[in-house]
Amino acid sequence: MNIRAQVSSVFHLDKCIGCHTCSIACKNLWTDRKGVEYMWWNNVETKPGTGYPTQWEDQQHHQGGWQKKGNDLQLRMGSKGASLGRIFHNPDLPTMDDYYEPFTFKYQDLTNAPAGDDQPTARPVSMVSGKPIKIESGPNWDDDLSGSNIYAANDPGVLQLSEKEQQQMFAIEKMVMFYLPRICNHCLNAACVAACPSGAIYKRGEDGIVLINQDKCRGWRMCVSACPYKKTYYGWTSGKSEKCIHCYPRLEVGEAPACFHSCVGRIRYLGVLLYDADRIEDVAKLEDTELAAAQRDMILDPFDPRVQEEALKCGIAAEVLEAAQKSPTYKFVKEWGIALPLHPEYRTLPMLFYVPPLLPVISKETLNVQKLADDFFTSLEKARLPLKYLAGLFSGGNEEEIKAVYRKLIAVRIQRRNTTVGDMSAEEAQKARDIAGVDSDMIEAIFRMTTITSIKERIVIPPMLREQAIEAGMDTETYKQEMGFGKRQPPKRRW
Amino acid sequence: MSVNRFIGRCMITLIMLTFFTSLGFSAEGDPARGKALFIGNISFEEGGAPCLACHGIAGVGFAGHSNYGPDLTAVHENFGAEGVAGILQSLPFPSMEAIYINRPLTEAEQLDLAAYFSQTSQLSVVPSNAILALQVSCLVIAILGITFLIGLRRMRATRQPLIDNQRNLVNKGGLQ
Amino acid sequence: MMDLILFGVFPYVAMTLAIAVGFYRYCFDRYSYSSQSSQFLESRTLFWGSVPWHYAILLILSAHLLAFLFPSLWGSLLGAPGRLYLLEITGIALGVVTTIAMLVLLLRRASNARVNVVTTTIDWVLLISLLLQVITGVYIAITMRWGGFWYVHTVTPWLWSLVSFSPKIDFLVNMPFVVKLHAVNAFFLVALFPFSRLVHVVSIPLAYVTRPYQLVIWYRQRNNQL
Repeated sequence: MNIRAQVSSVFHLDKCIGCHTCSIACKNLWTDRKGVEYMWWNNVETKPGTGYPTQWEDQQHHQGGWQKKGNDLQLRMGSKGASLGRIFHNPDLPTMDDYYEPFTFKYQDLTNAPAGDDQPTARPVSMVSGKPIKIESGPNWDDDLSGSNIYAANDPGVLQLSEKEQQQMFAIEKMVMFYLPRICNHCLNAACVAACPSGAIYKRGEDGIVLINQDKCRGWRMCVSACPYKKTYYGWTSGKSEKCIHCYPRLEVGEAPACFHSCVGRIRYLGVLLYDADRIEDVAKLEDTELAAAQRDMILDPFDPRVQEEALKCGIAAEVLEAAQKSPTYKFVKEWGIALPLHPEYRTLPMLFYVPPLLPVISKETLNVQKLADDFFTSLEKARLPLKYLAGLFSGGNEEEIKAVYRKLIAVRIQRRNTTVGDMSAEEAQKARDIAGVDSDMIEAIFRMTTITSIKERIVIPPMLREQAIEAGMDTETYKQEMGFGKRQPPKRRW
Repeated sequence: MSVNRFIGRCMITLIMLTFFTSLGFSAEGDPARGKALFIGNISFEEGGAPCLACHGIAGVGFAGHSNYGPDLTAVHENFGAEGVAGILQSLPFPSMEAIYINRPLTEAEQLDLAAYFSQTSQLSVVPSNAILALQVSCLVIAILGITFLIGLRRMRATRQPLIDNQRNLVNKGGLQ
Repeated sequence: MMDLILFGVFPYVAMTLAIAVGFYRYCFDRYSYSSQSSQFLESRTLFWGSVPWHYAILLILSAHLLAFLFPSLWGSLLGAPGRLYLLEITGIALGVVTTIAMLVLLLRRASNARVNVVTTTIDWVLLISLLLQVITGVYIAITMRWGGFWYVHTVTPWLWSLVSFSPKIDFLVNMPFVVKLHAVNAFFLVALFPFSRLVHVVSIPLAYVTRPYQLVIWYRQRNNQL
């Protein structure tokens, strides 16, 4: 066994209100510079919708992630040799038009305009060329447009559904949408790392954060194509790729990442997971429908003495082990099994998990009073969001996985309804628990974690032990270019 | 005057002698070897550049249309055997000087080349620039064609077609 | 005198600049060691410039290099009229392709507003010298046939004389102007290499083929590490 620790996250989609506070916190902290204005390391998408960049989920088109080639795993964009052959022009690189051309307004015109009959206007100008542009796209251009013929209807997940299911999703008064906040998944089998010709992208061994060494990056842009989540971005002025760094400078001083810290809905959970690195390749080669379960399976129990012993042997610090036991993500993903990875079928083994949305409440309306539908938990199949759509997002098409999660979430809801409102009987709660296969204690624990916990319980940052880092006791010259020290110039092109 | 006549005879003999010796020398040269030296199949002993690098000649296919230096097909006809021999011996042209000054042709090589030139005079030169241009154009088109084929694998724009499709539908009155 | 400066001195200046400044930039500003691609801003036209340009110029450059490094091998390769002709017309065709591609790249930089923004003066100098280089190259190949052949007996000895620090400029002095221009411009490009985005030519990531897909770096010493 080769046990490693991974800083992982869980986003509880039922709690996301789509306010974009996370995006703004991230933007102000990291991407408020020239050349990276268009980058949203954290973005919130409306589902169904085409997302950012447009239709990033369509891997037939974008060639991101991995595919099985016989018994081997290969990047979908091609073998290493083919990749080098395409180095002069990357055929799978989305252009700025598929994200959006960043723009601002000539606000000065409002005050500087000479007196005249017309009200002065602030014309939009491109932040790239500085010339006036017609704004045709922007960050979250399809925000809340779940009925849009352009955006929602072209969601690659929706296009997978049958005609009837599609009609059902977009029926008047039954229209449904939810928000999907996305950051880098810091995958175990990262496609960006695998695709980088220069070897500039690496995973940090201690915490699994995936970073791009800006000095080693030569701007070949293969990571942008290879990442199926399109979470590496090309800086058009620096000629380097950049991506979410999981706010590691904040984590190292014990602060939550900016997007986690600022989350209004408190949907974000962070904690350490232990996993067996020797199993990465085998798991990534499984069938699409088995991937979500296998990924859960490779996460190790930090309370198991045998695992603890092995972990210590593998160099995981005792403090990190302790953090792993308190990890909320371990509870969500492994103990409760209600968080699933996004698009496991890309085979990158993403380490950001989502609790799928149960909203809107399956209900019927009688005399303007919202009442729960009679067949509340037996009629999951009649849910407004087709299970097939959700299974396409979170379980590689395996509907049983999604159902199992929903049964648990419904059991929590009924039991709490019984406790607080009282219009649902204890028998009903018991029945829901039986169907879901959970006990009352677990339901209370889930309820607690999703509602009233403090930030200390939601975000359990392991000690990063920077005081033990190599540069503290080693010759920095030896490790120059590897660890990010020895930076003598600001990251700016002067040549 | 007998003295004059004597001198005259001597001159004639001398000229005849020269002529016959030169004839005799040219009979010694091997035109096939001369051709091989000309086209560079056999390198010159001292390492000088093969003639075909700059000089055109008939009888070696398309490659015979070098045009840096003058065409040598009819060099024998134009300069005569002596002229050719003289030229081959010293190669007295400024642009060739640097190449051959330290790497002159050996006597045997000179003879072989002279023998070869005496044969090429009968061949006629075919102007080839048009064929060359045609072939190069074909190759250029072929290379661009391969580029096009590589380009088929390219990803197309994603967002704009979605919007265009919708606009087309609206323009046709199919959708609002 | 001018000839001596151009063919006997300038090559050394260019090489010294290339190596010294190239190393300096690699050691002290590795961040900038890339081509700074503009594909993200404009992809369609770039394809028709970049792909034919790079593949064609690589082939042409390797022919120049081969004739310089292995002159006798190159000489015997061209020692048959059929092979000579095939290589020459391929070379001319590739040269024509590079010219077309460079024109495409230049026009793209000039006409696309977005790409124009990330273009600096040195980029223009570089692109125009490259265009000059391929145009003179094609011109030489067409009007002074067969360049691939006489190169071995003129340029190669000149280059080797430079390598052995006893420059023999005679080889070039009597050449036509356009050949001189081609040679001087070649060394101008060498001199331009460390100052422009041409530095990317030495960052060919061949090691990628042999390395494992995943890279893990530890910032802490692990207990079990020996």
